[in-house]
Amino acid sequence: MSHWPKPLLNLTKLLLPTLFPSWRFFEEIGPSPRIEYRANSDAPWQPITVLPERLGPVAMFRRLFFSPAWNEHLFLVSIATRLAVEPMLHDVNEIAARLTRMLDPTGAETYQFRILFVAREDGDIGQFVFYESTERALKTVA
Amino acid sequence: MSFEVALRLVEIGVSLALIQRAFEHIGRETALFLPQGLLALVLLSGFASGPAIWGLWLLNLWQLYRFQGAYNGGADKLAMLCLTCLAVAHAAPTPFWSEMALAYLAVQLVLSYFISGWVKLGNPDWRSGAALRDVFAFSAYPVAGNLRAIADRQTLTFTASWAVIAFEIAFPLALLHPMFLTGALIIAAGFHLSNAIFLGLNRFFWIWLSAYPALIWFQGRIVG
Repeated sequence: MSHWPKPLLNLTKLLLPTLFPSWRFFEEIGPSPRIEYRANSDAPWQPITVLPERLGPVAMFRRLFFSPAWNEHLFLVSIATRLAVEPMLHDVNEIAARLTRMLDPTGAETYQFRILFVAREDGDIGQFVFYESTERALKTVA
Repeated sequence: MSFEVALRLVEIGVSLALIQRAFEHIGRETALFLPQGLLALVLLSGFASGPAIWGLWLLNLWQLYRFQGAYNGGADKLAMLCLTCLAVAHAAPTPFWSEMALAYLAVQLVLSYFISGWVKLGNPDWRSGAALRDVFAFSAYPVAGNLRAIADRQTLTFTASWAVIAFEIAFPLALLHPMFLTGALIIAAGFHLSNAIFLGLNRFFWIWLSAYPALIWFQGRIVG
């Protein structure tokens, strides 16, 4: 397949796992990513997703039908995990674009984000920083 | 269940699941998902099902390219698989190949449970309950902070781990009798519902349920 045009090869690589899925759901519980950001370099780091302390039955029922923010969170988790395995500029830009959209109304001039992984080691849960972006100007990111 | 009824029920289920997904993206990636919602409505109506399915297939391929993979993991993969099988079933030159397309979907559905259980069985952390504890302790999935406390309930996580493993491994046995299959699909739907409630995997719930008619038809075709 090395002589195939690159976009076609890319599409084939993306399509094949949907036609022949591996179905190895939750095979192991590995390090789990968290994305944090800060608006302007002197601000404290904040998680991009803040969990509610609890969800009532009505909220849970509603989220069965409509849960765009949570599904975006799951998407960001998957691309953060993917970045650790196969770094792609696409995924860095994807996180940046979503942060830009989130921060745009706040008036911040720059932002930065980082990816941490939370993992169990020797029985204890710890975390380490895997990736830290450079400081980016909000207006220049598409 | 006849082949025609099963095919139509899968079409209805998939179209509803795709409308739900499109609805979640309006205002975010509208250009990508509004056409999906409209085509899914056409598929739901039952008119021009073939062209609607192929249109949805192309849109989902575009989405795979746009996100460089499935946006919502296994749920979007199964949606693409459903669309592929429906598209082939409509375009197949003979009824035999149409049936083969739906049978492939049914077999993949069985494998989705069996393989998932098999790989858990091979992992000592799943057998001890530690893996499920860690899902709640530190994974990014629990939808609310108070659910983290489930990690401390070791008897519950151990029992639930083995219940999931046993159910998933035994799932192919449901093909032996329509009553077994009915029971298994009710349990499976409950399993997906609990995943949607605790882990926020709502799209898995809808798309897996939409493929069940293929399995009901398949069971009758090979055993009944």
